[in-house]
Amino acid sequence: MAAVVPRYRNLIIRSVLVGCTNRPFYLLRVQPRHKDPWDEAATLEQVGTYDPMPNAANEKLVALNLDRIKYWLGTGAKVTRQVEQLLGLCGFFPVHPMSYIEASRNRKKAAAKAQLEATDSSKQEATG
Amino acid sequence: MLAFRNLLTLPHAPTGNVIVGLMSSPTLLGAHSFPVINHLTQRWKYRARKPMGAPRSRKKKYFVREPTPQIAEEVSELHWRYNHYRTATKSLMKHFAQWKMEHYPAEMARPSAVEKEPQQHVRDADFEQILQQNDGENARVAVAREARRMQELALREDERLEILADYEADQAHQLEKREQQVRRKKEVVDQMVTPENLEERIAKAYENPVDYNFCINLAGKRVYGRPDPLSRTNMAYTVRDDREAPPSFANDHPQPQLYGSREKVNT
Repeated sequence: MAAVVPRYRNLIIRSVLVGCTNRPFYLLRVQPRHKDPWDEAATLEQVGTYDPMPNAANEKLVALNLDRIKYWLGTGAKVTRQVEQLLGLCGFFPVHPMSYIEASRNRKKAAAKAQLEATDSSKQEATG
Repeated sequence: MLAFRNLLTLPHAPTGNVIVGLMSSPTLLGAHSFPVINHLTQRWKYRARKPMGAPRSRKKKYFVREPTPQIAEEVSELHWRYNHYRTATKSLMKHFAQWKMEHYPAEMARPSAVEKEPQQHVRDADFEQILQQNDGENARVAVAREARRMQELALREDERLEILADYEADQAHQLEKREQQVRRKKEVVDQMVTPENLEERIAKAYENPVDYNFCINLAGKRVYGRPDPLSRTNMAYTVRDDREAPPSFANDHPQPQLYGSREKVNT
């Protein structure tokens, strides 16, 4: 006799913002898509955490239960974009296109800032 | 930097030490009860909310979000990157499904998938006969129902006619009411003020000022207290009566003419 397994539809792995004021913290949860993300009763499993605030060593810590993520993806669960990006940076997924775009934007911003500083310092030298 | 840790068991990772303490704020110490929420401006998700009909706050009243800039280079890059990404992800998902099939075969098997087929077959054999029975029963009930309906209609014929007559009478009454309204309007059309006769009417009104500030004596005659109704300065008490008394009083109790006729005063 085969084990009776409930068949879930519209499953999604998403990051849920918990924590408190000025202290964000995310839980990665497997839930039916239409359910309340903060409803623990609607959560099938918590498959990871994400701490977006850099710690003393300037690290943003991510904890993932990859076996279970694999299991739920095999069941047909979808993934939100934020979690897709996270998994892409981990190397579990291909890197998300938006990650590339954001990286290029950051590079451009840094280059512009460096140029501005260079011109400022040269001006100061000229005047001083 | 991104550090990564794989948890083989169900993770309840440490959420960091978040120290929550009571701070002695003026609102806590003062007359306010905690928390103090301005319900008219605060709109927080999952916390205190504005009332449903509350307007947008003054600061955000005319706020319009700047649309996200669409840079052509980025858009084209995103286009091909997304195509690659989607293809890769799709095959990954297939791989995961395959992986699950291998590692959790019991869950992936559909129970009684094989047994359903003969049941369906047996049911099909009976189905025609059951359908025929059902159709026959439906036809029999339909004949009986139609007969009963006709009988009921005949029984309630008078009632229906009465209702119909009432309805028609009501309609006629309504029509008569509307027509009467229109007739009354038509009667007073001549007295209405129009752009053509506006000047004439104004001149007439100036020439014939009407004073409603009067009393009525026992004979029912109007008694005016002021010589000039439009003047507020001359308040000399001069009682005059220049109006016709109502016919019923005038005939029954004729009164002597006490007061002089009303004179027009130039202001």
